[in-house]
Amino acid sequence: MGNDPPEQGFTDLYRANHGRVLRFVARRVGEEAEAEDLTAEVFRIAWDKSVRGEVLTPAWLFVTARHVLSNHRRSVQRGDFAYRRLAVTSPGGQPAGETADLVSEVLEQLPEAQRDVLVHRYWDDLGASEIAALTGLSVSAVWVRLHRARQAFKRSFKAITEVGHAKR
Amino acid sequence: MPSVKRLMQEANPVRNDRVESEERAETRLAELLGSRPAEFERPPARRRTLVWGLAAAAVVVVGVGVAGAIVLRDPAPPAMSDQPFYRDTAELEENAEAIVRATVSATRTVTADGITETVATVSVGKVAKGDPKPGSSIEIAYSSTGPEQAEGIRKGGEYVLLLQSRDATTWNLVNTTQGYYTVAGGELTPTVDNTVALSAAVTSSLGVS
Repeated sequence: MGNDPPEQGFTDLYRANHGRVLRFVARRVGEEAEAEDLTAEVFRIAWDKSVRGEVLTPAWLFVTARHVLSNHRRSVQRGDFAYRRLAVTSPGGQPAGETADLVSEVLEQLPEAQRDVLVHRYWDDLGASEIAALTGLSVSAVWVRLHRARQAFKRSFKAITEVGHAKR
Repeated sequence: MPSVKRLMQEANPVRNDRVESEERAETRLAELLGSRPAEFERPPARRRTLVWGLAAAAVVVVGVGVAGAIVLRDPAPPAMSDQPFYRDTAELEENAEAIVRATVSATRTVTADGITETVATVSVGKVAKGDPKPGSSIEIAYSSTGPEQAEGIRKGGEYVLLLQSRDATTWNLVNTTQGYYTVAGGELTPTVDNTVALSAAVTSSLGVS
């Protein structure tokens, strides 16, 4: 790819990752039009770098998306965990209901680092190297954190469902 | 209890099987590139230089317009790498909780919560750093899918391994590029993308060069 013109590599990167970045952003802003604008900003920055000869990775896109979101939140004075306020929907557009409520409750109870690694892995569908780029951890440390987060999630989920059953 | 993966995916507020508007995405792409990318023809080399010089200038002009609105740090890691790297010997060895010379006696594949990993059982020969004891066996887990595979690790092979503790029984490689050096004839060979050498103190204590 080294001798390809920048538009070729950029177009490949864009087409392979535009949807992923858009969904990543949409989970955190909750409004589709806003998400599309911010995603466009991510790729505008990427294009700028591509023209200057930099070879970009999907991981770089997500790190940049996080910076763009961070700047956007500062400009609208919004909190960091907008994704928790999103209406959770099933594939058919219907509310996912009890499971979504339970998962939200469990996530709220987890430490931020564990919550983030679970969201990155299972909602954002990021690979370990992409999560590593976002978190500054090594890839192996990402796996460790993910393992511990899953254990913590299971403990919390069990505790919450047991309390729920006891109340009935 | 259902798996964590299944619960999380059911509760995903923006599902990954959602169909995006390809037309809108292509329009945005065309706007960025200044013409439809599918219609690009590769111009002769000299003309290409001029074209990209003009394109770069146009992007700079556009960039000036948005620079005031967005203040960005350069994201880490460097754009060339998709996986964190340790830049020098000291950083690499410091981040390893254990450094051992070991032989792989068995490998197996394990899938849990949708993540497939290879677990290698290794017999520890010598230890330069950390808790593993010479003569003991330990387990090393690493991804079997995606870009972060340790492709060079084979059953029967001898390696110097740089490890981080995962839990009471399992270790991770510090990363899949710098987490292992192949030992052959007492000499170390790093992976192709690893330019960081181990220190003389470590190689000496492990009996390799």
